[in-house]
Amino acid sequence: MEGDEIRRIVIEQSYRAHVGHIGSALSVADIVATVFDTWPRIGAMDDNLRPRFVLSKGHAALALYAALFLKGQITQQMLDTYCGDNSELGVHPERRDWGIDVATGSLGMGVSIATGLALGGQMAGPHNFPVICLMSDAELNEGVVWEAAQFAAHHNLYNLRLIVDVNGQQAFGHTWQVLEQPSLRKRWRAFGWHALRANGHDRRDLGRALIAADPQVTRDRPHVILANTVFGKGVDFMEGRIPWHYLPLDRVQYEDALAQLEEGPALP
Amino acid sequence: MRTAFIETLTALAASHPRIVLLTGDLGFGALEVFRSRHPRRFYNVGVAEQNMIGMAIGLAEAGYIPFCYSIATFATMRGYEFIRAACANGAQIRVVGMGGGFEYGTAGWTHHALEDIAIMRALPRMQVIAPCDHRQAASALRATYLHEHPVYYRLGKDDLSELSGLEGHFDPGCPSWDAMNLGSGTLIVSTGAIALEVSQAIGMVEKMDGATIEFRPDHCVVSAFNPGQAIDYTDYELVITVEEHRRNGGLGSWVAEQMAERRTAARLVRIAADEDYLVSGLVGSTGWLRARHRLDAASIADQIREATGEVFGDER
Repeated sequence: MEGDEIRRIVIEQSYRAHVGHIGSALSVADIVATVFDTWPRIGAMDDNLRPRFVLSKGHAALALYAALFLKGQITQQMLDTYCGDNSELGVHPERRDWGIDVATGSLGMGVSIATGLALGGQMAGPHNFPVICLMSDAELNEGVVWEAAQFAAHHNLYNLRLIVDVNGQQAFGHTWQVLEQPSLRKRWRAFGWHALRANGHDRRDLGRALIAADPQVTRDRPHVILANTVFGKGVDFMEGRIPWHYLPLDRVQYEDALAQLEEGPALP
Repeated sequence: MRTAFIETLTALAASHPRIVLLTGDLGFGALEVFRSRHPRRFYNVGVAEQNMIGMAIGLAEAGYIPFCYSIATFATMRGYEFIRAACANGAQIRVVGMGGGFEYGTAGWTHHALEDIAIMRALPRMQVIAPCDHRQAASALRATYLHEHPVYYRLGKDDLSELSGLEGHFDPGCPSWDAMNLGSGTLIVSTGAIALEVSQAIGMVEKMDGATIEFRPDHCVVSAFNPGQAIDYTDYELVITVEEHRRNGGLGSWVAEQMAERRTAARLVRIAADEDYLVSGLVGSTGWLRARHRLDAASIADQIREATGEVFGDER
């Protein structure tokens, strides 16, 4: 699964449905593709020991739907209902028996739920399941994230992998303007976590970070991967621009965006 | 109720490996029995009620039945949006709130649960259960711990007193009770620990006035499991609700909704906590606070007499 395949679906579906949250979905596309390739059993709902994926930044749900489509778990016809009336595919994901473990949309909650899942996994015994939670850097504003971080560290939830999409932007400003987040890696380490930095658009670097966070390698602490990303990655007029948290695409922008993805922007 | 509830939960957990108990750093002198019997299924999550409920959603998704324990205000209010998310996720969680009403008297308004029933019963599929005494707390838990949807248990501290005649009976379905219909008269419905005061008040009124009052303390489920089987209020001329809770949104409101939807002609009188309370800033013992809010047995008896006097005149 390629990040640009996810991006293309994100652009097509958000244009068709005339909805926003495009930049957020673009910034996590490579992360979602890497996670789904690393844990192919995500969404295998009949397996109680399947890896669980929690999209704590629920507003990037379109990237998740795209990945589930590319995996063959939902049809093109279903994908085309995105944000339509009577659709199961909204701006934020619901819990779905066809492949979504947890409903999210209220920021910070997913981290707490993922922590409970990881605890449940460990209680299931030695053959426990990994829990992968993808959150935004803006979610670090939420107090409950740090409540969960303390619990996960205290109880050595090594099967929990948290990936922070560090795109430096939030709904109404850049993170440095809203609540500055200096020394992120030190913060997580101070909370007792393994903390790694990675390039969130470099599959090889992300893969390396995920492997370094493998419980077979380090069986003691929860892991956080601080993935540096570019908001709106792949579409030049969206990259790093706050308004694309909300704006939908017009026809000219849509064609421009698709053309840019067609050319395939060089990875950094 | 607390000891009875936790001991029952501890016994149930022995045969049901899915039961997990979380606490927000509370339960000294009560939760130790569970912790020592089931140490691998007991977690003190710290003073972090939001995370307690959030983790419970995750644990439920992983196949467990998590019970989340705290003082009622913190259990229900601090993490309310998380409880709402549990409903949205179809998570089989249980919220256990200690100290409904004025149980933590001198602790002040932060510890007085006076809106918890209202907010919890507003949630879809949430079952609200406020047992009247410790035996009913145990039987209510046994009857509902496997319920497929979220449950809120509102408990009191009293583990000694028993409501006479109740025998720990818990009836989640509120089935038809024609057999107990005493004809046109007065029905009193209560919920939670205040039922003991209500029972005493009824004794006072009956002794003095020779009245016949039907009291339904087994009707402690505010959002009924089977709403279609709720009480037939048309059999009464006067219905009185008594709750250690705010007047709007709780038991009295629930009964009012049931009566209105059934076009019941009976008069409804709601006895509840004083509306001005949150701003008064006064504390005292549970007994003092109940009296202050006219929720002690003598005050309840007075209000019952006032209501029956209005409805039935001097015939009694």
